[in-house]
Amino acid sequence: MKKIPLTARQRPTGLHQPGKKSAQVKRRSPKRQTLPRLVNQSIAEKVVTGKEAAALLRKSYDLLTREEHHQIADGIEEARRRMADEHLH
Amino acid sequence: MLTALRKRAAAWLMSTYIDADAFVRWERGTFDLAGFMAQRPDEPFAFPATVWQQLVFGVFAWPADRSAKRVRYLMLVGGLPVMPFSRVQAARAARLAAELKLIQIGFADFQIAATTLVDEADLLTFNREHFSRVPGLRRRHCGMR
Repeated sequence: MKKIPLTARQRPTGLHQPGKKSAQVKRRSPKRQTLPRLVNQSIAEKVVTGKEAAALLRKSYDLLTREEHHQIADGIEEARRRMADEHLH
Repeated sequence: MLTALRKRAAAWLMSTYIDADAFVRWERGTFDLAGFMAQRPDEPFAFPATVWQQLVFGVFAWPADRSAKRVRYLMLVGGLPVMPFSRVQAARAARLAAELKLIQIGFADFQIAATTLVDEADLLTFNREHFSRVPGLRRRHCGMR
């Protein structure tokens, strides 16, 4: 079987940075992280770790009142109910 | 070769995908989602595209005069990645629906399960009734794993 080398050279910055960050987290080389991201087609999405995600949620939570948070929950549950009624037969 | 890379990618990035019911519990104050994340500081977190659809549904359903503040809130929450539902995930969802036959879990949950399985991620969910029926799906919630 013919093998073609797959290279990570000249990758765009937007692709490199999330891979680099993820590589730091996982203590692996950025190049090894970047190639799988190409395959996964998640180029536009950056990696958000649990620490960052927690800070983001806590910061944004204070924007709304308790009642408004409940209303958001109601909206999500309504969407879930509507989508749950759709079945593949 | 691409298949091998995809498998290796999953091994490097053990992501946790958040189901809508986990986020609803966070909104109602019955589950400390931020605390759960903080206890796993190095793990990547993301929403499946279908869950994101459920999260932003209210934005379009609410009256415009009261939605602006909530849109800003969801824009901030949207700082978390949203994982795509594309050809591969669609095929996996169809396969799951065919394999489960009479055991139906709903269109949305098939999509969420397929996205999680294709990306070899874990699913943070409290919905055992539906997702425990999906073979090979790794579920997580507080007290699990």
